[in-house]
Amino acid sequence: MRKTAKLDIIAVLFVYVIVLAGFCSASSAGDTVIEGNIVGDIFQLTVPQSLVWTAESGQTSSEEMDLEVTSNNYPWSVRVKSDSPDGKAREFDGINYVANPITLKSPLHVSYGLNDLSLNDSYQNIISGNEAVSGIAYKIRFAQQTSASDLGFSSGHVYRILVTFTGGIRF
Amino acid sequence: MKLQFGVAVLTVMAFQISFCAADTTSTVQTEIIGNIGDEIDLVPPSNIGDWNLVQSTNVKDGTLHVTSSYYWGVNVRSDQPDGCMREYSDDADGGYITGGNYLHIPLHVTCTNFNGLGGHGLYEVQLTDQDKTLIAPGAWDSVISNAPCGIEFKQEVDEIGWHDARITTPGHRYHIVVTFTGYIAY
Repeated sequence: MRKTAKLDIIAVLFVYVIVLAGFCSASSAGDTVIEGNIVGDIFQLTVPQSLVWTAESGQTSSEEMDLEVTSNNYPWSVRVKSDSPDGKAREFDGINYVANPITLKSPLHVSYGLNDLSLNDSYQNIISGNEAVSGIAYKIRFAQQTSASDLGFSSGHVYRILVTFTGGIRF
Repeated sequence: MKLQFGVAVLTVMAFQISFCAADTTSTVQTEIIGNIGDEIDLVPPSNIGDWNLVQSTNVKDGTLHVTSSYYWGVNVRSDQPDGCMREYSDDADGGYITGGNYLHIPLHVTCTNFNGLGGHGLYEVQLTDQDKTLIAPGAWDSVISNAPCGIEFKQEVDEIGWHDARITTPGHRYHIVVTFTGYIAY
């Protein structure tokens, strides 16, 4: 009788750890692109309402004021004129220019830097800019030459001239 | 003297081992274990083009969608260090214009609501090029699918002074890239 050997096979346990991968993502990013532009031109001028000064006879008197400019675009410019055809201040009764007014002998001058203008009733360029500005004050100088023949008023009348500034973008 | 040699007889006996199916069994096991990896997916708000900016507070709304399998948060940043929109062109030499115009007030981004609800963990961010918290981690539901988050983009143009020029060069406009990053908050 042939002998056979018995061997017991020990069960072997294999452990596989499978990690499910493929769509794991601990972060995610995305972009939003934003584009646009400023619409509409904005231009503003601000000046004092009035300038009162006493000019001395036979001399040149001057006064300064701030002209404020705000512009969201460029180029921009400011022009100036007077209500007097020849730029000469006229006799004023407090309400109206008098008929046949007495006028100063010389026109009013207005200047910014080296740009000195003798006023008349046509617009003339006084300031210009090539950048957007925000409430920037430009020093405007008024100069009035008087002569000995320019007389003062004792009736309550004054010499008056209205100066108009106007400006704009690509003006 | 007579020598006699015994002859040794070597007998090799071979043993044969045989496995008999009838007498043994074999069992093996394979154990498989696993898990779902944490995942977050984010869809940013749609691009905004031709935004007409006025001298006031300008607002545009959008929606950010978030899908997450665990607690999550969202950061936001821009491609500009100061968060300000800059003059840009996509001409042949395109990109941001060196020395070009720029808006002086940074863009702000706010998460106004999560799934229609306002409240905690939602912030207004003044943009820079660094990540800032827009939605706090763990503030809202952990497991969400395509949940909408209301986003507000706010660009102020100075109402008092005016520092922001209107761009007049054809094809140029103000431009900024806003990046939203969602992350799993462990």
